[in-house]
Amino acid sequence: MTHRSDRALHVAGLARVEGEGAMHVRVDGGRVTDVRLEIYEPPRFFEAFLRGRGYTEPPDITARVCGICPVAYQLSACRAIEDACGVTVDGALADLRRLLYCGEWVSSHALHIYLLHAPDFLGYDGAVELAADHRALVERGLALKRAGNVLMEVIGGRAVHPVNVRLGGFYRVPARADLAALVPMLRRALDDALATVEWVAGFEFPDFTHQHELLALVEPGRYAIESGQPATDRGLRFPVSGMDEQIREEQVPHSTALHARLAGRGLYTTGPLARYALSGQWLPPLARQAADAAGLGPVCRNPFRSIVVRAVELTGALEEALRLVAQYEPPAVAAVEVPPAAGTGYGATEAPRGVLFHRYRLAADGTVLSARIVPPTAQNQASVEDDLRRFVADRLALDDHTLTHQCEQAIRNYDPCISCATHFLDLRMERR
Amino acid sequence: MTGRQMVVIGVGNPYRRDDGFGPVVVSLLADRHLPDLKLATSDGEPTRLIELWTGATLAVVVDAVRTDPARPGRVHRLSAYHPAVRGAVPASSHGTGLGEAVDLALVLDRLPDRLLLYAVETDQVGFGAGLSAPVAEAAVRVAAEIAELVRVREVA
Repeated sequence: MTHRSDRALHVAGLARVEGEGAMHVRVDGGRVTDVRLEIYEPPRFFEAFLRGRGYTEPPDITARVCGICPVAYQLSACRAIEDACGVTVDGALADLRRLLYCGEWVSSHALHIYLLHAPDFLGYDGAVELAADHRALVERGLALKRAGNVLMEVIGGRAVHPVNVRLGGFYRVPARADLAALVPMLRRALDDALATVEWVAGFEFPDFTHQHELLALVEPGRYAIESGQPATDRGLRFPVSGMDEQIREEQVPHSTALHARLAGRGLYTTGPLARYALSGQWLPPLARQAADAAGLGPVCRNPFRSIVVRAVELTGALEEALRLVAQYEPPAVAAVEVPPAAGTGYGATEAPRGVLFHRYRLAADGTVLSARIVPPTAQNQASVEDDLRRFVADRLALDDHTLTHQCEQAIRNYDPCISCATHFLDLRMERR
Repeated sequence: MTGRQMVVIGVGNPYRRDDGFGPVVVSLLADRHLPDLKLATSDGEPTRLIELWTGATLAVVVDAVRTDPARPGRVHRLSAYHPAVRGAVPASSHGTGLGEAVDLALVLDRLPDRLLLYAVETDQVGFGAGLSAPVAEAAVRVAAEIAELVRVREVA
């Protein structure tokens, strides 16, 4: 049914999103009157769960928030607690952390590009249907994901919830030969990543852009991953320790999750589009060339093209992994000492979905007194709602099935990991 | 996975109460030090499951399921081809599940020779650590049963 001003749609279950939640869209009298991302379960459980724990525990505990990006949680937690204790991890240990993080980016981006997002652009219901017609493509995606997993296993001990990460570094560091053995696999993966950019750049993208302020970590000279300073494309820049003043979270009636805003500025977007806008000039060379060939330009504001940016980042992460492996010399110690200290520490890293902020307040004996976690999906919720509001308003002539499908696709642009923030997603659209 | 191995995969999150059933069973099996048995835990992400069981002679997936009405601690033993597996509703905090993994593995010829699911009915899957009593008891029973299953196949 098209060209109807009052309509009601209901779609149960939003597929191909990590985690579950609910999206409610109401169209009333031909106008979009309400868009809400509904979240049911207490997202702050882990913050409460951490209180009273020992200061060495948050990296392992918070890694359980999400199986897709455990390294992000571990390293944001490590950086925040090390900050509280006055310890800086640098040199070869910091490089090893970056290498581990590259593995997570490769694994997460490959999963999202090939199995969660590409089916939208190619007219398939999901990865199974895509694989039935294009087995070689899906196999390439799985090989890429496996390369990321292997990298995480060699450094982190295992790919899901790595066990080798600790405050100050690692329990043990790999031998040079352990990493050198990965080079053939990483080179093949780099070729596959370049082919991925070409593939997804050829998709058809809806004509849609947003003007959200873009927030990412910035580390001049290189593409920020495991460290950097928060900055926006409109000139805001603040230290990670400014997260409490700059990132305001507000309760909204329809959700138990908090909606993030930049203080005095409004909603913002974090993730691949933001990273690319702020650090695109520091992409490794092949990734930079691939971005140019894909026609991305210096800034991409079409969230549907985030799949291209992810493919470029996939390429960059593999280039960076190869560089770090080539220069690797095992650190003299597997971890630096992190003695407990009373104080508050802040940490932020670039999870595949965007900036992940952690803050811990410690007692002198290292007991965690309070914790704050601001995951990227929670930060992007307001952006997702804004995109949907405008996206639906421009497409009311579409039939219900097509419009609903395109809304789901618009949500998947953000690769939302709702399990970071919530549970149970259900898409509901009403037109009256 | 490269060899012709047996693998037990515990799916779940130990911080989601009874959803930690699979990892607990894997931990109990690890205590038995069974030779030639690969043990793994997973959040149930389909491609990860496929990676873990590709090439295996036997793969056992241990998971928690929500049922209505539920009898916490009741264990279901199903083969991968059972219709209930294909439409299983995982209790885990990730929405995708074993059914999608089996469907994708079928298309990609990546199913193990034999794939079994041990699924326990849950009591609580909210945030928190530790299994409820009936589910904890079921974990001991299931670990013993899988150990016997593996031992018999090794002898064979």
